[in-house]
Amino acid sequence: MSHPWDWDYLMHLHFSGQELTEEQRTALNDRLRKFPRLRRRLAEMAFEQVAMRDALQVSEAMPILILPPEAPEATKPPAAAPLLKPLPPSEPAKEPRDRRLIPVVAAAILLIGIVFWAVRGPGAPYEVVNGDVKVEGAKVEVSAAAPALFRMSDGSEATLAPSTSAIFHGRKDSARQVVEISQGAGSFKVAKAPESFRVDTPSGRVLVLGTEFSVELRKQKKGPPALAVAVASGRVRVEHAGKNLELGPGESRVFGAEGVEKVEKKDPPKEPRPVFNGVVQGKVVGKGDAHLLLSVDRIVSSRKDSSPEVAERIPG
Amino acid sequence: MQEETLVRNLLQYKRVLEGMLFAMTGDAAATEDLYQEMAILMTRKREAVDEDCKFVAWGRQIALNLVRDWRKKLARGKVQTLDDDVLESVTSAFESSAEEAWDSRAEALRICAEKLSEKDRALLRRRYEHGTPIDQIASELSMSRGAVDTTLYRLRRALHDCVELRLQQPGMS
Repeated sequence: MSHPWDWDYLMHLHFSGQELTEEQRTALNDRLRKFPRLRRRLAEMAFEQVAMRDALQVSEAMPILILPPEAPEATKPPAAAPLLKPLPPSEPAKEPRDRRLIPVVAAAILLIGIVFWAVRGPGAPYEVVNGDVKVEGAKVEVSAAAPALFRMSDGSEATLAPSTSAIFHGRKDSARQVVEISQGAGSFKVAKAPESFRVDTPSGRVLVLGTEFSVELRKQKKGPPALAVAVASGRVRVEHAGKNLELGPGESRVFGAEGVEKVEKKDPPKEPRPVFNGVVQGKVVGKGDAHLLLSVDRIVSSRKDSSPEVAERIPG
Repeated sequence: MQEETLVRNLLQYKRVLEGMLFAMTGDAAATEDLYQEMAILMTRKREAVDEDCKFVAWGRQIALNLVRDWRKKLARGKVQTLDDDVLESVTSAFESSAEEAWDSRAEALRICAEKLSEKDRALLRRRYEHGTPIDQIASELSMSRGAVDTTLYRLRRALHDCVELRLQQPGMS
């Protein structure tokens, strides 16, 4: 016998918070009692509505977090805290007097990029933007001195830490980009596109559902390296030991550490705050609820725990 | 169950448990509140359950009790869509599916949502991400309430069909 109801529409009314007529309500409940398939459809549609918020999220481009020190000032994104740990800089920050070297460095980087492009050909799935990298086809090894920045053919970018070994596979399986990391760490800024972006490691794989994350392989005394994943924006799915887990913005985890999946603190590590501890001579030029604004003429004394960069800026 | 395991499970199964609550209530705001209550209750009771317990099954029992209490507290005049006996069978549909199946569904939904036009995405975001009432959307778009409701219904159905199609493709389910 045919029925007059569109069950999907009745479920839509339920999910929209709209009241069904008694006749509709009775019919829907009877149908749900009798047919497991409709119950399943109700469950699926409820799940889809809950997941809709994530599915509709627009990922926003974010700056790469870790920059090699050679990067020209003009292209340097705003500073941000590293996701997992700060990568060791190869040299201390340059003073303004070294700015005359920037065009030379930029030209050198451009030249290196052109050489790599010429060696690998135009069809390669990636290019080295900057950094000291040993290239063997799709395989790259970043030097121990500084991180390296790579741009992939879909516009995504990877910053690989010093001493990282990786293979840029390009399109593989159903993924538009696959980066395989056998050792080291990297952070990724993933261009938005319908197909997935994937990072494979010996300890698990990360499927990108959003835009920016980092991956680090941590050596352990026993067994394979642990996989540390941190997400800055968007969402990623981590496949580890046959299980899937999604991580959202601000979340980070270590997989496979001594056989236990370890939850890490959500907040990224903060830069140490510069402090001055000592006695100064000068004038009070402003007062707040919890601070004084001083015009310092000279330092009378400075204790050892003062940050040197603060003390250096004060006369005397 | 250790706290670490509980937190991991709450994150891992969040959308499944929320979906369960939403299927029963049909109320997005209530679902968020009930999920929070659920997480608090599970934290209090975690020591009474085994480390390797079936998390969704445990969550289902708590969700059923919470929703039953919530329904009792609602105004008496408010008629609930689903009868009490139907609630239990609806939630069992969540338990019978593998965890990976829900993950695949979420991924398929994301891919399908990307294919929508900007206009359709904007409408869905307005309704489901920002929770704007249908009446308000209708007023802002100079459309009738019925037209907005019908458009939303068609979009949701199209997305569901797209998801089903994708899940039938090899390697997706």
